[in-house]
Amino acid sequence: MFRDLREASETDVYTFDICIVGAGAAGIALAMELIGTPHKVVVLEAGGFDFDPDVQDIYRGVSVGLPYADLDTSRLRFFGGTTNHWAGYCSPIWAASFDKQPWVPYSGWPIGQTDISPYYDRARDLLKLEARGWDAAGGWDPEVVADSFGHPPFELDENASEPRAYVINPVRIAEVFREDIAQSENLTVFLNANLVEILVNEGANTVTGLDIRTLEGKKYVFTAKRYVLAAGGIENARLMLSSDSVIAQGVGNQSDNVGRYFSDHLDISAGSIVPADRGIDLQRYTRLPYGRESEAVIVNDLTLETQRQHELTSGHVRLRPIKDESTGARTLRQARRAVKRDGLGALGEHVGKVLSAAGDISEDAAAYLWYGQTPLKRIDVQFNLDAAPNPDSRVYLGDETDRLGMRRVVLDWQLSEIDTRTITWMNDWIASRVAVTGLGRFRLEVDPDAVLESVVWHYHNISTTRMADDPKAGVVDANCKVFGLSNLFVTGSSVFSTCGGGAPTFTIVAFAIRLADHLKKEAGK
Amino acid sequence: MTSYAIGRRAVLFVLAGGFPFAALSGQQAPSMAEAELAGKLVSLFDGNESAAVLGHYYLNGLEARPEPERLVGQILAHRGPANQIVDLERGALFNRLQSWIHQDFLSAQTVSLDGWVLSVTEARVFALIAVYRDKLA
Ligand SMILES: Cc1cc2nc3c(=O)[nH]c(=O)nc-3n(C[C@H](O)[C@H](O)[C@H](O)COP(=O)(O)OP(=O)(O)OC[C@H]3O[C@@H](n4cnc5c(N)ncnc54)[C@H](O)[C@@H]3O)c2cc1C
Repeated sequence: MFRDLREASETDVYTFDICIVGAGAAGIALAMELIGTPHKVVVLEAGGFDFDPDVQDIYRGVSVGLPYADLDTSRLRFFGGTTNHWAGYCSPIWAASFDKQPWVPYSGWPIGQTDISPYYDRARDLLKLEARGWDAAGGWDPEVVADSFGHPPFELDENASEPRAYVINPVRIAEVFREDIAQSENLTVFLNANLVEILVNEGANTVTGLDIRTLEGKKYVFTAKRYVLAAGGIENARLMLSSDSVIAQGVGNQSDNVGRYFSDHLDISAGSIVPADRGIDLQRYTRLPYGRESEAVIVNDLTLETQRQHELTSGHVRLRPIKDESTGARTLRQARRAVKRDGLGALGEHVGKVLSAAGDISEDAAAYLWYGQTPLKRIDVQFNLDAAPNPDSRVYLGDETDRLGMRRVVLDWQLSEIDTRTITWMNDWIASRVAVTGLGRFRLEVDPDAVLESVVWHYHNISTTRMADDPKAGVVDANCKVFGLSNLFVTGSSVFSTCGGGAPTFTIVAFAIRLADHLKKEAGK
Repeated sequence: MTSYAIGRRAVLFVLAGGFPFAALSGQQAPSMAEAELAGKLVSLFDGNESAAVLGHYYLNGLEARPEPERLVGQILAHRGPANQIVDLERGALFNRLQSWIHQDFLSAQTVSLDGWVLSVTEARVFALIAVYRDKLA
């Protein structure tokens, strides 16, 4: 059922078996797994059913490191959380990401891919992702996806890279599960319920309750046997750091790891290719329908051997064929965007023409006749990197406070030398492969002397309460329990030990389901 | 299109004493084979204004404009003497050039023109075309 905390009595006692903070991807997935169990479960959600600027303002923060998305516009603080505007790209974390890679500092997880893969099956159901080609051990088979697309492969570099499929369905989980939650008997979702402090005993080893407030200033204490933070990749850390009444550095922060290792996938518009053959069929690399509800896209991952050989972090390259604007049907909006970022520069036309003179290119009309499709204007090249773990990249509390009296977040996003090196290597690699495979010529848009300026975030807030097998190296253990606290758990991408290949939400949901199984088992003992 | 029309004109131009290398540099004229090969390389991009544009761009980026002989010499470096290459048919010469370009990309012998990553050999061929066109203009 749903309740509005603003209408609840401040003097009532609110006691549950399991208390979950936050109703985004993680909180809802966890709650859905606990519906129908004998446990009395509560979800405390800061927002209501819709966007409210006053509520959203609590998310405002400051960025002092590399430029990052505004913290109050990228994350969403209402029922459904940030999945109310996510893009829906899904892929499991790449198996090798779980292993320690000696050339990547702080790499490795305390669990392996087999510990999480069974939960991906259930996560796929929950996020309504196409089953065809799916295998929990390896994700969606890119060959199956590509076959369904029906376009021929283009081999960029079979030694250095391998294809990987993302399946896309930006399902609005708040809408999908709202009715189930409303009907459930053992689950209550309190809306407009903001956690402001995790209360702990004097030994700081047990959570005794949660200090919950409404924006209007009403105060409540919620108690439970077990508590789970599912408030998002930045807020999980903020809430732990803010809980400083008993220990000044915040709960679970005895090793000063809370808020550190902040990470995201890196999005780099590396440049554009002038194709030698404008009739080449690269449709296989575009985003196409896949199954009833999903779409899919195929990218090229750097192989583990390539990463090892050149001491790189993991990542992929995505080719985005752009059809000729003059012949394609384009909306005004698209046309404006194209003018803003053509990508070929002043010499692009000339590079195209010399490739043509070299006998490799077909004229627009011929391309159209021979291939039955609009000729390509260019192929944009996008890199997506898994930033290496970096303890200096961090979230901490600033001096400014919000309406709830909580200190606002400061984000100091940093990258590492290995990230820069990987981008530079990929630039050289792609320029060479584009020419050697006869695809065309590549124009680099990244300034080689200022590589980091080309980096854009993906809105994935990762690792601020990272999982480790040693309390000195992280915040939660392999079961997502906070080191040193008997009954506090964290879920969401903040527990990822590393960025991991793939977009995070699919794995967030898988981890939430795994945690639900763990809590059920623990509670049943 | 297998003719060497521009190439023949270039060679005639050379024979008439107007070979741009010598004219520009005032130095010792290149061998006949080098001159002829230069003409043939230029002719692979017959009528292609864009090659000259790229060539000028490349030349403008250099600290000093290289002597044309030097360009030919650089193109041929480690690739055998001009007289072993000059007799190739147009198609074969084109393929040879492509393989040089291919090798350049494999061994990171590239240059950047406004961000465009080109093989150093193709950039030098374009530069040769630019020089040749400047002289004809
Ligand atoms: C534009 C955009 C596009 C994206 N696209 C993708 C994509 O394609 N693929 C992908 O995998 N990911 C994507 N993401 C990221 C994805 O949205 C997040 O990974 C996901 O929503 C995280 O789930 P979560 O439950 O951990 O956090 P959230 O979804 O942020 O949910 C956290 C919830 O906790 C609540 N909360 C916060 N603080 C408190 C508090 N103190 N008390 C009570 N409740 C609280 C919030 O109101 C919110 O409902 C995208 C994000 C953005 C911004």
